[in-house]
Amino acid sequence: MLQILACDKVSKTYPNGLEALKEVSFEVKKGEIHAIVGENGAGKSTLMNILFGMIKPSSGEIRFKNSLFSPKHPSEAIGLGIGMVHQHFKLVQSITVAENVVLGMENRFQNKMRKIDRAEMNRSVASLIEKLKMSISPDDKIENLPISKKQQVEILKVLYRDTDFIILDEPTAVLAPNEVEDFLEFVMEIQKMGKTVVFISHRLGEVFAIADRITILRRGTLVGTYEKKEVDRESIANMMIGTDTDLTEHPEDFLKEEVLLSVEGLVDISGVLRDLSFKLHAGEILGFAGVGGNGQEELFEVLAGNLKLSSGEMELRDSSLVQLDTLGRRRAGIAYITDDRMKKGLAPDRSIIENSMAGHHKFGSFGKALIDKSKARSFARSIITDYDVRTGKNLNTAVKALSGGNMQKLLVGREIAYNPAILVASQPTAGVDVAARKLIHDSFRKLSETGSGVILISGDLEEIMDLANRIIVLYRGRAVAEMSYPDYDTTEIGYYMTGIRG
Amino acid sequence: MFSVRALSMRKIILSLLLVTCILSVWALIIWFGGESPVKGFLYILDGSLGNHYQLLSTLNKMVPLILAAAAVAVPAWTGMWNIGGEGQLLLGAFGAVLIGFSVDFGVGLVNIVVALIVSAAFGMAWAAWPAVFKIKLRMDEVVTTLMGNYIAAQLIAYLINKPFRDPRSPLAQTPYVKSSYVIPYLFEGSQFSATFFVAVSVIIILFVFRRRLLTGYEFEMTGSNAVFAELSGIRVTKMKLLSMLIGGALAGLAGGLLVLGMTQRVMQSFSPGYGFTGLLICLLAFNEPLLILGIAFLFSVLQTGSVNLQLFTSVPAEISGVLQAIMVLFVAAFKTFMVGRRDG
Repeated sequence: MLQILACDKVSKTYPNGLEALKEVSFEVKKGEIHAIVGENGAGKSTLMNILFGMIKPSSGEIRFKNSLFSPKHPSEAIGLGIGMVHQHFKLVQSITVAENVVLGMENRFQNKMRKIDRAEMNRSVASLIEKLKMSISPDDKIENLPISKKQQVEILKVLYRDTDFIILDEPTAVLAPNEVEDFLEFVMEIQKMGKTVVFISHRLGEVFAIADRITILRRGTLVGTYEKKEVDRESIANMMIGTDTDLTEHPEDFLKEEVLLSVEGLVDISGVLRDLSFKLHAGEILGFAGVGGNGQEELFEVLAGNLKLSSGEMELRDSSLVQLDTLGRRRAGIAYITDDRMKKGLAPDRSIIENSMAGHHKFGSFGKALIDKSKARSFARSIITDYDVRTGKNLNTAVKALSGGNMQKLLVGREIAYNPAILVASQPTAGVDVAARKLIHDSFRKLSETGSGVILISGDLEEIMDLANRIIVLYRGRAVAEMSYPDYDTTEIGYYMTGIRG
Repeated sequence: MFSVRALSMRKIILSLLLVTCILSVWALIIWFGGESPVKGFLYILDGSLGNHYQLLSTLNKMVPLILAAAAVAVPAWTGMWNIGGEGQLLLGAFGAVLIGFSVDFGVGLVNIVVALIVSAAFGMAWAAWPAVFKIKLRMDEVVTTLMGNYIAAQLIAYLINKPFRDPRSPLAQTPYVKSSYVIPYLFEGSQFSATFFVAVSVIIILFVFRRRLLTGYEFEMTGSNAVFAELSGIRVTKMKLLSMLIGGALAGLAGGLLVLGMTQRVMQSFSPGYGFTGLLICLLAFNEPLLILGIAFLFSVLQTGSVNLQLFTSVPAEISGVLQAIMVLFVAAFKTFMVGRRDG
């Protein structure tokens, strides 16, 4: 196969001195699916933004279709046939699919009276939809579509512009497990149409399912480009983090008889949770699996006391939690890791110290009225060292300056520092890299070893199977299945998650 | 408490540019008014800081400005907007008068303290209902506190016209407070009194409160991210209510100090818009107590100095309002550059 893109010693140093890319050289062949993998901060996004003309490299040379390539603006890259689907969708919510797809080139459908011929526009979009065998209509409004369909619209937008080089930035991060499979098949369809696909992902399983070749980045440098058959998941994972650690995980057995939390017949006032009952034992990690939107968020909010119950009972060591607010529940010994660190788990504009003391300050750790600054500082420092949070020297910098993985480690560290009787963790490793994920998982294991219980709500089935002693599958707010380690069966769980069984 | 500091070259240059912009537009305005800008500035400085009478007058003028700005700042820490400083100040002033002409505890200091507490309580009451409406009914506090100003103004107008009108006076005003309630002037020929030190102490207390007290920390967390604060066990609605009550009390205190330290009664157009000037000062000071002190000083210099400007030139004293407004506009514009954008 011919090469379509070649990068030669591409470097990028940001004005603040961060070296995001250091002399990265690799090439992409025409018609292949080329995966780019690496931890958070490895330089994947920087590289893709350079290819799409959003930022300029500091040095190095890029050749695209055998001519020198230095786009000053994404429109130039689009003109050359490069398309990018961003992790965060860029769609106008209030208008239709066809209007979004055509947006920016709607002049094509203007008649002599400068009126847009909508019928013609819809027809042209519909023909592309048909070619791609998608199940959306050009008349659908974006705001009414589920996430997976919105993503299809993004891809439609790219393909409509006669793109032959498509960059997909973490496309499966937003999809449910059963949607991922469809999506991967769809990517292969695109490849069959003769397009070249560059696929960025954290999830090695997907990478191995579809990629022809894999390029690995680590901290801004190129580790190498490999044919899929030359490598396996273990070796890729180790190349990504640069150590030879064992990344296989399995649940530990610290189970005790004592029941910590007993939940009976939960029904919340929004009506999503329907008659949910379970027991959490000391030393147990209990996983809640399910496709997003089947009651996971409600379960978290009910446990946190933000969502009221219309019926049901929750007891922590035989005393009821129902009447307690969040503070009361924290005092009773529950800690919370929320699924959205930026919106609910941290105050991004405030300092690392202020963020790490939040909540703990209610327990007199830093004085009764006056804040003991040195205690606060050393407390923050202990979290940072224990959880390998990579910050600068200055603990007064705002948390938003940290990378996502480091924010998450800070958040996890803060919650585990309570030594809680029960830890409720929702999507604890969403969007963090392999090393941080391992560290967070190990901290959960250590906590359960001390006799605490962990409720793990996660959309990442692999994570649950790596950690949990028991899995409850949520489907439409009900517990439809329960399995204990080691009798886990991915296909079986998948059936329950998608409602085929249960 | 632990402030997020990032002093970059960029920020220093922008700050200098900001000051240059403000000064040059000021110069232009004074020049349009028919005076050479350099002379104009000198008249303003001379009129506000030229001798110790003028300096004392400038400092005295700061008192209501400082407290009215603090009345906006404290609720802003928890993310609440208190636009009702004007009304709270009026109510507070009326509270002080009400006690001041009707009750006497025998000891002057006790009288003054009681009257100030009552004025703070009146201001607090006027801030309480918008806060409760916000928390219970989710009514936007910007609207309720703002409208509260007009209700308070009409209410006071009624009270000083009808039930509490001084019968011997041809004007609509209350009787004077008893002499034991008057906070004495400290210097011959100046209205400067201990009220200034009360205001400065309030600022120092607020500074310590915000940086060093756990409640101050909880205020800050509530304002920065309320969902997060709630999940951390901070009682967010309680914090918001409390901050609003403190804000109202501070505005009420401003009114009380004005009565006891200067006017000794409440009359028609008692406040020339202290509440709104306070709001501007607070915006310019980014809710930071120590900065409030500085900006209030600047505003006070402009106000007292512009009287002097009018005296010796053809430029009217109202120019101070224009100069203040220019400052607000530029700071608002520069804030986007300095805070709104992230590097990298």
